[in-house]
Amino acid sequence: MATRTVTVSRPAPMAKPQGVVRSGAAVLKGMWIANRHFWRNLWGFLRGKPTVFTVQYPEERLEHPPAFRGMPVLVQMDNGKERCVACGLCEWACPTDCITIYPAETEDEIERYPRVFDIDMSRCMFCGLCEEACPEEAIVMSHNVEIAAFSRRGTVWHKEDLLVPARELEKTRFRHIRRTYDR
Amino acid sequence: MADNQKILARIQEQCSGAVLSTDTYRGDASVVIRPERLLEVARVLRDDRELAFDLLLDVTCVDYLGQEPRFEVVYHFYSTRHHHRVRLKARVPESDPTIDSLVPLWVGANWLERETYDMYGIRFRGHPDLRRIYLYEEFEGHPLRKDYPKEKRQPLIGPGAKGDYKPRVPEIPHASRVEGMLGAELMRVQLGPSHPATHGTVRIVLDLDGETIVNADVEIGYLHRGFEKECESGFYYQAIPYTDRLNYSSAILCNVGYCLAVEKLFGVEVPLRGQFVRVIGGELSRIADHLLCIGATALELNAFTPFLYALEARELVWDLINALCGARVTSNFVRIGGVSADLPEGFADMCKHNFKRVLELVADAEGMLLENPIFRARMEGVSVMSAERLIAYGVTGPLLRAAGVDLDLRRTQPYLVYDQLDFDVPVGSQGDNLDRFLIRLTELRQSVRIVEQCLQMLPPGPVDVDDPSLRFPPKGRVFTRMEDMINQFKLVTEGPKPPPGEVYFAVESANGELGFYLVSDGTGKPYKCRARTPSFSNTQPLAEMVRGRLLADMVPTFDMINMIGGECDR
Amino acid sequence: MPKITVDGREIEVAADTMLLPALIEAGIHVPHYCWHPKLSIDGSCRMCQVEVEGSPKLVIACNTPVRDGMVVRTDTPRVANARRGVMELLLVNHPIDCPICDKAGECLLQDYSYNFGTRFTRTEEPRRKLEKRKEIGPRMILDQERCILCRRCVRFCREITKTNELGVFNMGDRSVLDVLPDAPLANDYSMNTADICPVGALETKDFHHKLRVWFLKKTPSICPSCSNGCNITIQHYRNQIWRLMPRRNDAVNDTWMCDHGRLQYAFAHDTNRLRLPMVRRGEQLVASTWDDAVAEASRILRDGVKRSGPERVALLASPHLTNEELFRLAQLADVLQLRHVDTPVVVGQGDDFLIQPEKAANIAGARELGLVPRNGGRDAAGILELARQGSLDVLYVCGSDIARIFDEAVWKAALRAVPQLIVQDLFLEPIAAFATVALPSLSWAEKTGTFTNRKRRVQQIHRALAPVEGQWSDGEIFTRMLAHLSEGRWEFEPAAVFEEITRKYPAYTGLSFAGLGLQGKTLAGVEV
Repeated sequence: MATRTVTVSRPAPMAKPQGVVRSGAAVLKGMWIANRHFWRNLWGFLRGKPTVFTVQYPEERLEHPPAFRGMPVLVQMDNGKERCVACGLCEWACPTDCITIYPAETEDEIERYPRVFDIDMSRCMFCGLCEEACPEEAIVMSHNVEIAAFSRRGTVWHKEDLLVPARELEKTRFRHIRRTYDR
Repeated sequence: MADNQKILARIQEQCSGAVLSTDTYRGDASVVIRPERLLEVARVLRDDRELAFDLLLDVTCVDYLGQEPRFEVVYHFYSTRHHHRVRLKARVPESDPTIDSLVPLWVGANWLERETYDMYGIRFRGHPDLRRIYLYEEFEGHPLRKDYPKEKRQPLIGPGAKGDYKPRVPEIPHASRVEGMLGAELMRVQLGPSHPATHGTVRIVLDLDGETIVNADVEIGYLHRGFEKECESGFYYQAIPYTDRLNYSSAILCNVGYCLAVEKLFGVEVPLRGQFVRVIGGELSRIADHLLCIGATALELNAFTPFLYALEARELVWDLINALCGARVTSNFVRIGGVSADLPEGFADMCKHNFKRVLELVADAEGMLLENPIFRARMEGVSVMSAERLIAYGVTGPLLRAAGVDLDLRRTQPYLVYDQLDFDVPVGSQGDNLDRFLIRLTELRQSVRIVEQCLQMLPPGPVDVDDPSLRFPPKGRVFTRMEDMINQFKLVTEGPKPPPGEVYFAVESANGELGFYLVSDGTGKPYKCRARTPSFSNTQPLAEMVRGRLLADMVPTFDMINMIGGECDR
Repeated sequence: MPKITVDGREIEVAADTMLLPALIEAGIHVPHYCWHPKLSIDGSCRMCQVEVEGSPKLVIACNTPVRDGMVVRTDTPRVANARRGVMELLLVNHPIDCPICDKAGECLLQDYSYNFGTRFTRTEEPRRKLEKRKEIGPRMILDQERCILCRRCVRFCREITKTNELGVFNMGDRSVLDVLPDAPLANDYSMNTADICPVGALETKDFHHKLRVWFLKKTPSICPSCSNGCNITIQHYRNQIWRLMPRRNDAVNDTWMCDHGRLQYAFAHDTNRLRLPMVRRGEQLVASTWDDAVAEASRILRDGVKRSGPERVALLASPHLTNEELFRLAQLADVLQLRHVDTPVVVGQGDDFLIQPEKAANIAGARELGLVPRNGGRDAAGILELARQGSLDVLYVCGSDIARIFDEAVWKAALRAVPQLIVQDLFLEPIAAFATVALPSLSWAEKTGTFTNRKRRVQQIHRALAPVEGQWSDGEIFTRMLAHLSEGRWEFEPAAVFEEITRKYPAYTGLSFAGLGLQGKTLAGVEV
């Protein structure tokens, strides 16, 4: 191991009372740094290639990395139905108990489906444990975080609201989670 | 291990008859003593030259409902001289849950014992000020006891409740002097709980004599969310998102600490690549935390521009963390037995690019502050506390290193791959706010260095342990293989089940020693999940640090302690 | 008693048993599929293999008799290897149905695979395809792919119900569990096969895709449907009952219960339950408070007895009430000196196994505690006759069994003719709608107390569902009436009232509520 302990070097102590030159130099240095930022930003603005760090949201939006965990959504198969078979693992794994599932039977080949699938987004903490627990790739974290509601009841999302076609998710979330499928 | 045997032997030798049993489960030296001999044994632990346990890290309690005696009061100690640890335990019965207070020996036991009293109802004999610390006075019951149901409601108090509500005049226990200069009355003001400078809700009641602080009392608990009770009612893997919310400025470090503690319970170690990835995540978090601390300090001294530079730098670090685990703050990155996912593609390039800009911004912020006479006047020589006093308070981290004590767990008790890395540990010389500031700047740069080294040294291989008893199987196998599907079901529905036992594991988080004391009863839910958080112990000396100083010194001192509300209040 | 050594520990076991039940009794967990304590030995699954000193091969514990001095090992690598081998072969063809299978969470295949099985599949061949979701009876569904051919269900139908519906057809690796097309699995105990099936091959329609078992909370109780008193667990969640399952009691029901009793639970959380007391004002029944309604009922009873004498006041008790509640009711009858007291009970078909003709759990208890005609008073039919004739001024009816025992014309005429009718029932219909005072009753799932079965065995029931806030139990209602009608402090706490019963009735001497335990105890003078 090659770590060493170093005592931090303190800047030279300030004399009391402070000389005008010394104080002035410090103030000028600070102004120089701030100005450098200002002129650089102004130049970028005039050139049309802003270097300012601020993102003018909501007109400008940032692209999220593939790993980004937004709100959980249900994957919709090509036939319009959810891939979810209401196995209940996501409900059980959720630390905040925000998922409510009532399973029911269908006559199709896949015999089980969620009659009720509610996620209370005001409780959801976007941790992604539901996505990790799911054995069917049926619930994944989307990139959507713009989910404000006008009432507390409006924060509960039902199954129909949560469905997102699999095709859309191919480009975003699936790309990230499928990297881990063959650990 | 030999060290543990020597410690236990020495304790038994020096405190004959007090020791009931000893244990070295998973390498933790642990002693059970008779409760009536606590003060004597603790004094031996502190004063004996071979033991030299000068740092009282934690006081907590475990409720063994159904056993008699019911409560086990647990103490964790560390020696800054010999760098070894010990755990002391003493059982007290339900009928009389009283034990001696350690405040006469360690002033830092004050808040720790108040918390144990608040949560479990243990009474500490000789404690100068035994009142609740997190919960309000009218709270009925002791919530961490096993027979207190999590959903229990409390009667309403305050405006809106039935009955007479009278706002209380804030008190300062053991306030000294009631006359100011020229015989004037002291003025009692409150800094907080809603105050722009206390980022992290805290309420500091002050007695002012003009601008001088005569008495101070710090009241915490405004962000108490019941972390321990929540962890006890969920599985081990469900606690990880809650650890994010302890020190939310450096969440990955909290994840790492917790998962390493659980893995110690299991007795497993993550593969090498996984360890490197954890170090990378952890150090990125540390950079983010220090950037915030520096920026917020500048902000509260009215230097708004360096604050924005620090925050821009933090945004860049957050972009890295975001790419790594999917969220900027609530990372949920580490898993028991590995990490949630390996490094994304192009991560090394992203780091290189972002770090360049981060270091530029930090240099700019530093340049604007360090020579500035106002900054220097407000930070230099302010709130000095000696190393001995800090150690008596149980302080660790940059706050302690500023006083010249060379204690960094990454170096003294290395974990993960820190022993293979090359970095500097800064210590201070004067112990004032300026030293604390400079230490954080240096640590920040060293963390960048660590991440760069890790990215270079990263070995190929798996990041996760391939153990079906604690890590979810890879999804590809779950979809297509019967055994893995069963494995997934069993782990999710019953949780990973470590063998019964208890461990304590500590990591060096941004504010100091973050330790997790886990007690397992063999089921998938922790019997006790205690987080020993550095901010709690670090905030305790605040009242003493500012006594006699000006009101204006309160702000930079508080900033340099870097109390993170989530960590302090759990 | 022979002594054997298991994993280095010496234990004493019963003589003339097989090794497997002896080990289980001693608390040593040996995994097994085909063995069941109440069925014959099959020896087909090979999961319970253990090492016995002196035997060159591993032996199956279910078919190895214990011998004094036997040395057994269950923790050696050979045993672990054998278990892994069995699990691997069982899982080779098992469908990956866990997400849609109801058994997940209580599936022995999951448990043993996780604890004893292999880590990786070695085969990539496609799995066999058989019939899934086959309705083999009015209450049962079969999934042939999940079946591991332990044959517990076949032995059940052969030995317990003696109806032989299920069988394994074909041979070798083509073996498949099935029923014949003209003989569905329709016996009165068919749902027990889902209990004993270690996997999700046999599922009940009642619980099919209803809820995940890890949410269920389990409360021990007694089935309320007939006087056999089968021991059950009420499995509930979010204050609703999701299923009933039998509990083992070798003196009452072994490990079985009938289908009819298993399906009778939805009424307990029916939203139409009467929850607030009602009193008649004019033509209408209006909601009232508990204090008021019970006070009015007490007043009706007291005034009725005072004005016209106990001859014109009658009480019909319910055989669904607990012993503690019936005791208080009997005390009420004593205080009022009533003679016309009876407990009507529905009588139906019984069989020679578990189903009894008297369709209530505590009819024996009601009779033991004196809720029968006194001093020449009339029985239930007689009471209704008196009522119809106009010879009753007050009638207090608990429960609505009379609507199922007597013709509608008979009981309606009787109830209409009584000027003051107090009814205490679960629902407003059919009887309480006629009442002067209608008091809500609690279902058996909302009470803690005791039932006495037809063999005079006293067994505990425990509260599983919470009643609505403020609702009084039947016992509390009777106790409050006693407080109105007589002196003294009257309380209702089941264990304390049980103690009062033991002091008054000699048959109950020596018993205590806690002492009953989960298996119950018989009254004195009963041949066990």
